[in-house]
Amino acid sequence: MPIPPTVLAELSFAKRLSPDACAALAEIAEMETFPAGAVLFREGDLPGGVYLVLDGRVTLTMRAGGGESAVLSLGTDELVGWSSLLHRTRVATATVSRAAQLVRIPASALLELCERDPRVGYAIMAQAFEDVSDRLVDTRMQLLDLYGRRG
Amino acid sequence: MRRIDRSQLEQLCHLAQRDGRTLIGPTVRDGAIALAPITTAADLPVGWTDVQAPGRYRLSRTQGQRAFDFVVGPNSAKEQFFKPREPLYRAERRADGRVGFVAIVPEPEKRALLGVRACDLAAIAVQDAVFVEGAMRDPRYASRRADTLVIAVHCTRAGSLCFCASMGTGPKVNSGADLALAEREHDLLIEALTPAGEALLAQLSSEEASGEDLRWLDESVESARASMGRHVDTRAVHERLFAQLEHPRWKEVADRCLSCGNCTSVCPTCFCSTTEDRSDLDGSTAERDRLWESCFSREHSELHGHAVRGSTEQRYRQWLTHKLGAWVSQFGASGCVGCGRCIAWCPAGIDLTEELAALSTSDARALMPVAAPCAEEGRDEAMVPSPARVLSVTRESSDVVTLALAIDEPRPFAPGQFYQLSIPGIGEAPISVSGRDGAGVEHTIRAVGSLTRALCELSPGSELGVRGPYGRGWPMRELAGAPVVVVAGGIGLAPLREALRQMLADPQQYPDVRLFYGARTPEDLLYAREMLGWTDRRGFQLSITVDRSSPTWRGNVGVVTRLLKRSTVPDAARAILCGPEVMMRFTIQALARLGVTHDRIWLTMERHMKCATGHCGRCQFGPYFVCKDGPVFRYDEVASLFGRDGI
Amino acid sequence: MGVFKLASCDGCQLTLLGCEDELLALAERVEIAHFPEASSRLDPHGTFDLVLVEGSVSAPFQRDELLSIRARAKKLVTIGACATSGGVQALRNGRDVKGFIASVYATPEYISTLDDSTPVSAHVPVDYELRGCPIDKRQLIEVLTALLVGRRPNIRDESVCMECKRQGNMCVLVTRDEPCLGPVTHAGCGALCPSFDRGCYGCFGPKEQAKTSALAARFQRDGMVPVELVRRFRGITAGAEAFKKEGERHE
Repeated sequence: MPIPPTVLAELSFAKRLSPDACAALAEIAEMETFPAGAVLFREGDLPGGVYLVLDGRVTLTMRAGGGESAVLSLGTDELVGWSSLLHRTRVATATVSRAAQLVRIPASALLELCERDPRVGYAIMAQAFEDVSDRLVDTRMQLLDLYGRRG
Repeated sequence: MRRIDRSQLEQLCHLAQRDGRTLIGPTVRDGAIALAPITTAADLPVGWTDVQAPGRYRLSRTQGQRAFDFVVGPNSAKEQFFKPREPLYRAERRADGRVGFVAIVPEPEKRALLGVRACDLAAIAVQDAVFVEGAMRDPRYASRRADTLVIAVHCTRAGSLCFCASMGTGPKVNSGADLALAEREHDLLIEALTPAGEALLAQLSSEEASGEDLRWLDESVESARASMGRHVDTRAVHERLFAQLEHPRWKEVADRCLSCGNCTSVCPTCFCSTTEDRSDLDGSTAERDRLWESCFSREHSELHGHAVRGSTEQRYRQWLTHKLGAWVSQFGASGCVGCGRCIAWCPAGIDLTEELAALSTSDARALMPVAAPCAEEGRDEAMVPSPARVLSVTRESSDVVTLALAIDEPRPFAPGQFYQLSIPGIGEAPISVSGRDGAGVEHTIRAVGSLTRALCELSPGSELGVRGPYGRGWPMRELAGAPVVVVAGGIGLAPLREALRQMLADPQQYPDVRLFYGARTPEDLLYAREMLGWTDRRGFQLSITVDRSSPTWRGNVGVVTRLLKRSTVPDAARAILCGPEVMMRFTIQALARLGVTHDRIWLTMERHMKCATGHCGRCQFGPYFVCKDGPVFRYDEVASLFGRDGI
Repeated sequence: MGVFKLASCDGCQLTLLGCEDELLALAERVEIAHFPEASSRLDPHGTFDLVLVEGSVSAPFQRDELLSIRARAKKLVTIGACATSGGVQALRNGRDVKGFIASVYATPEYISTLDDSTPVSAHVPVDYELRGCPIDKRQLIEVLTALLVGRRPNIRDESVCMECKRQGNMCVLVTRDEPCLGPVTHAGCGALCPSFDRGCYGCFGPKEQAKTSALAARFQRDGMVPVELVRRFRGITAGAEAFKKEGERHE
């Protein structure tokens, strides 16, 4: 299902884009609904789509110790699958853990859009960088084990 | 003003000891002029003077016969009222088999202090403000202080380390004494400042002072004022100091500072103390002592087993910014009276006036809170627990339990306040109240140290001691009518639970409450069943996340700030937070992005409250005592210091 | 409870026997299963709730013995300067140990020793350390009582000066330049030497945040020559890091 540029423009991912660039992004994006349990991609998969969560929850898991461990859950307005922007294979498995409405953007088309207009490319990469940086800070906080020793 | 002959000093000493009064006066001991019980004028340091320099004190013989021809020795009135070590209470088994706590408070004592200088009179006033003029009155200090006759001496000579003129405390005695003396070679001028002083003076053989005598006194005091060995610039010093928290001088002075605590021990105003729990080998009796502590010791800033102020640099900064800065916010007067003792008795010879000058290179000023006088009459707070009994124990997680306590003679509490829970012979710890269960006051406790472990092992019927409630709780009135965002991390949900319960019970006042709660693992989530019950309430939203997932966990994984980031917050929302400091710091940033300004955020400060009455100095945080000004603060009150290292 | 010794003079163990008033009460609460200094009924290979270890690790066999003791002890408390800093025998550390042995012993080949004398904590985890040469009796009773009731012992890591000032002692350093290590020394002795008008010689070892350089600077201002400075810091607790470094600085 196509996504109206106005809906897209409300998401953080598009906050650095001009209306024209937002429209161009909307052209390559699709809105899709997933039931709980749907797997968007698996750890080790080849690069594919980049997702933005409109509603619902996606949980990232990694294989560890013979099972899958949930490492992060993502919700409204968050980015899923950023590693495809770097042509990398998937670093985690993304499973819909609460019925979700997502924006799916094929990574190849998105990268093409970036290459075509480096200003748009910069805006998209800067936003992705912000998201990944926030997640890095969060991961550090998780590593600090805040509630473990004291609290 | 009268004049007495030198020989009348003996009579004065005699009169000062009537009615069983102990006379404390200057006397030579071990190479210095000490303050000790004396009985006769012959005990006074007649013909002695002191020569002082940084890290150096010497007695020297004079050719004269004056008894007060020195400035100050290492002792001050402080140790007369605030004892270096004293017992607070004894725990014992009562006749009915229950544990009882017996306060140990000295009988009122009659004292006369002879030879007190103007700087030390100011210091007594400063300590009075700490111990007896606040909302909580220390009965031990009060008992010793109540009946004290003070015979002061005007300083007609300034020492090389004196700077009372800068601090506005001397050299002339203006108040705070019953009698004021000014000594000359053959006679003394004497003036009664109170009726008690007048009564005493009437029994001395004296004559009216002449105009020449009065001129001599004025000139001598003025000459002392003009010849102070040290000087400090006190203009807005508290605001200037707090603007220099990152000044390189702190590091520099720390290279010379021994962190030995001598300065704080000889300081006539330093009031910090700690406690020690003692018990005998067979466990039949237990006592708690209070003893002088220094902000230069590691233990003074201990929190959860490590020192908040781990370095000498941070400790020196704490001392100086408190003494000359925070004190003004706390008590409306400087904690420094300009006596110079800390300079003389510092083995390294660190000179406070020199450090202050070096730190005053800039005119930058920090905004400091203004001391608010205590509104109500103080109440005696003897720091003695009331007996309490465990009604029920609820295991919340592997290392957290909730105790419901029946307290003898309970006082009402507000959400966010805390109690001091103690087990005789083991210790005492501040624990926030987490709710009320029928007649029981609930505390949710995590086993981390020896005391909390012992508390977590109690069973229904166990006895313990409880003091409280203390402190400022959550701002329930300011929260009413506005959407409320509650952010909790780990055991930080406990101090918020009663606030949540009250808000959910009153949807008219609190129509929109949103709880964001992060825990370590799903197993560590507190009050899980109770929270599920809340989700039915209209106007309540619950978001929970865990740092580490478990195989059966289907909820959110990630830090609690991520939950906040993906939500929107209504205009005018207020937020209350409790959790580890790092979590609260990031939460405040996330809230700011959502438009919640600093003046609409409240949080609880983590500091180790030891006395809970504002007397021990242990929980100081910049200009505040967390135990009485907090533990709940509006964020803009603490924003400039929150999360800073070593505060 | 077991009491073991490594390289030491037995003086700290003697402190336990010196607890005359408390010994009976202690014996009621604690079974002393191994204490060679006091009893011939021994259990050197048993397991213990609490072990007191005196002495430093000075010879190879002591290292092995210590590992074995630790494995059998729930709580291990080291007692005295030797066990907590290496003791006076740590003066040999970094020197020509073979030369010492050759000059002292007639048949040096019988002597088996390590190059360095080291504290117990350099080899095994330690639950509490009691400083001093010898230890303070009140501190020993306190640590035993605290362990029995389950509280953290009141072993304050402040300076000796705090004890002096609480007792009302006049400062020997400030009033007459008597060299006193009190400002950098761990409290616990009750300011014993300054109470008898002597300077502290640091037998409890360095306190937390011991700024030895600032004290040495003071001694120098008072006219102390380097060789004397070295001697001050190289005493009974010469092996303790802060004192060792300060000694080296003036060599």
